Amino acid sequence: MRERADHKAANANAPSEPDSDGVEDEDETPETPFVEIEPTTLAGSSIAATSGENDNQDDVIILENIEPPHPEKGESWPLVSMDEDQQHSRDIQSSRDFQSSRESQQQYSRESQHHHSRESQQQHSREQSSGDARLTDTLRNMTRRNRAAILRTIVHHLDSSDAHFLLELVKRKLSCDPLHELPPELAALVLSRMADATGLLWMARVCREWRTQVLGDVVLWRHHLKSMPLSRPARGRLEQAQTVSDYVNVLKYETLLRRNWQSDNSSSRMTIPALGVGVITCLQLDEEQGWLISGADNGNIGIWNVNSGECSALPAGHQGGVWTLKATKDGILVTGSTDRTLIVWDMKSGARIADLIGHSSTVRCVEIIGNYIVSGSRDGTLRVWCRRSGFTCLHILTGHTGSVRCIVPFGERYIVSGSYDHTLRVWDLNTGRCVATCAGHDGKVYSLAASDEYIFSGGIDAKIRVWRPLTGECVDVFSDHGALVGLLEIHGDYLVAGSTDGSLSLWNARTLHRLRFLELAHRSSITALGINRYAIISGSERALRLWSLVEMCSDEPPEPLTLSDKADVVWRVVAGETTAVVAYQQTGITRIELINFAP
Amino acid sequence: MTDSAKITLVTEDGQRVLLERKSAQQIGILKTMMNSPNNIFPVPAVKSTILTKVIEFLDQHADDPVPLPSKQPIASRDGDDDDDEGDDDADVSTLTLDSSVSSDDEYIYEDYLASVTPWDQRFLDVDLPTLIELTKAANYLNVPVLLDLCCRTIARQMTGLKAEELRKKFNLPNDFTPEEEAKMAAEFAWIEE
Repeated sequence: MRERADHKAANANAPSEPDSDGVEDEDETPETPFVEIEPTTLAGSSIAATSGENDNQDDVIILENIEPPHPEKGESWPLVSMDEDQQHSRDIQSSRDFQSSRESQQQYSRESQHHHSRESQQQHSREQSSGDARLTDTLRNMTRRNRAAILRTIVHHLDSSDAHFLLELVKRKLSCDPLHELPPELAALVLSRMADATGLLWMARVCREWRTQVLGDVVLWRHHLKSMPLSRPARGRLEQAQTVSDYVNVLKYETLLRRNWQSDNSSSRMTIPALGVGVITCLQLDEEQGWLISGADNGNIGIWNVNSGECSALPAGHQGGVWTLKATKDGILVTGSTDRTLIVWDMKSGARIADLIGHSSTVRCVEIIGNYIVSGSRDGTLRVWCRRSGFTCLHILTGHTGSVRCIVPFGERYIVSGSYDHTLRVWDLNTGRCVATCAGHDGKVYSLAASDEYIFSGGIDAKIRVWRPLTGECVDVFSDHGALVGLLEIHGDYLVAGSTDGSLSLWNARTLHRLRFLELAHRSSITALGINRYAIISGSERALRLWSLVEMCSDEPPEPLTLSDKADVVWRVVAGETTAVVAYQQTGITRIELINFAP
Repeated sequence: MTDSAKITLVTEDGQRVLLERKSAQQIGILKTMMNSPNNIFPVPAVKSTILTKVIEFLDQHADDPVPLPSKQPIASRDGDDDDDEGDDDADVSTLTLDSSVSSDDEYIYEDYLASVTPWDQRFLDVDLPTLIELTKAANYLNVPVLLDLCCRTIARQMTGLKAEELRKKFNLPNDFTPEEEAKMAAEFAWIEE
């Protein structure tokens, strides 16, 4: 035995050109061609016992006496795991006999989990080393070509049950436990590269070793959660998280929230009566502070507690309908009206702080950027008001030759306006100058959206145009819609557009690739649109639909969920991270519904 | 300073493997030694078969821009030219590993197929034991780009599978007691769709 082991060692580094039949040694080699089945490959099974009985044959299993299993009798090849460079047959003759004994077969344990039995394997391995050595030598000393020839012959002679057996062996040979085989730091690196953190929890459920590796590493979990896009509530929980269990809980919250949005599994719905009968023209939601503000064409302004549904109506102010509003986190609310004025309110007290007077027609849009309040009007101008200097009018931005329909901030310094004069203008808030004019639309501009890089505009010409605002260059035109694109909403890299012909499109706002175009998203004009990181909500006559963003980006046709089919008209939709707000009219009554998706 | 275009690496199994100096520049552990007049370096932890594979990768990526220390734009895969020689997409494999366990590598949540070039995908389409050897070699030789790709490729093989499927795929035992299993199943019930 020792001699063989030495022989193996000696040969290992001495590649030579052996006879192709591989039979070059030794006196005690039995006449019969044989294959020695390596006991370590039998995974802590019974070969040790077998070899005990066969001591005098030097642990060699004579294959001629072996029958293959009989599948019809419910037998199968033992599924064993393999170690390197073993389990090859010695030569062509033996390949024909590459079979396993029924007797042995019966003794083989079905257990094939080599990790579990590594120690016992090693023990067997020592006992059996001489037998291995001889076969290993033979194989090692063969040329690649000879090995290939042998393997080809083996395969040629396999029946189908042999073939399945061999296939299984090969599969196992080509597989392994990556977490075990890699040093811990590399295993941790692999785990940090998992594309889905919930996959880690499946891994933890595989076996003890994996559980320890996965659930014992708080750095791994912190890494995953910190690099995941998360909702605001989940981010809040993340800041508090310290243990693996905490991090798993953050993941759980986010996963359930996402799933709730994707499957319309709302945890609660609350319908609150709006103030009087009227068209809800504008909504703003702040989930962090828990308020919702509504403005209506009857002039009413309501501030709602999202959690309780309680409303504190602001005192009468405007002489006409409210068509636009904007509030800040520090409690300032600005409303714009058909009465040509804006009113600044203290949200908490409901006090009227200032009236912004100057526009000569309806105030249609308002934005607050830092200390600037910017308003756009049917009079064709924008006005910039300064919060710091008692809400005085700093600039009157003139240039448009038609109504200003919509405005959108671009960064901290610029405001972009869309007008019925078919153009967009880009204004520098600091100087009050027009930086660029974006001409290209063949009709009134109705909607705007801004990414970090581009401005998107939708018009009655049914086009969406993409602009570089600082140069006024039009970089792309999306021409899928068949009618007015009156609604554009953006969230992160997703731009969604709704048209009066009922079509809906989704774009990558960074690459400008179209992700989805739904010609018949609705049967009638889309009147309200919202998007968040999970879903798109679109509303039209008698249809309020929820579209999973994942589905919208997949190859399959998306199947929208119906949030409601009772609304006669959907006025406005806001998609927050945990709450959707829908303002609609049902049998003549105006309602606001809060749909909560928080787990 | 150097006149020889090639250097020689001596592997674990005593083989001598030649490689271009340009490719060797990407091997972290050689960087400091490159100025030495010596053109032969031992890499005792790497087998020749694996080293050959590493060099194949380095040759392919020899002209890549130096990886930036921030997260990288994800490769665009416009054409799926299967027979390309890789030149077209050579410039996109600049994923870095700078902060393997730090903040802002959100790209790991990008689609693997969309973020790894077709050449790299084909290159890494090897059996798991080879992939693991390659990972160790990339780590030992300090080739961050390759190490990252290897890790992501292995991670991908473990992604999207449930416990039983993972056991089957990696040939692992279920050594939990039924009680433990039930406990985890209850605790992690939410991961099931």
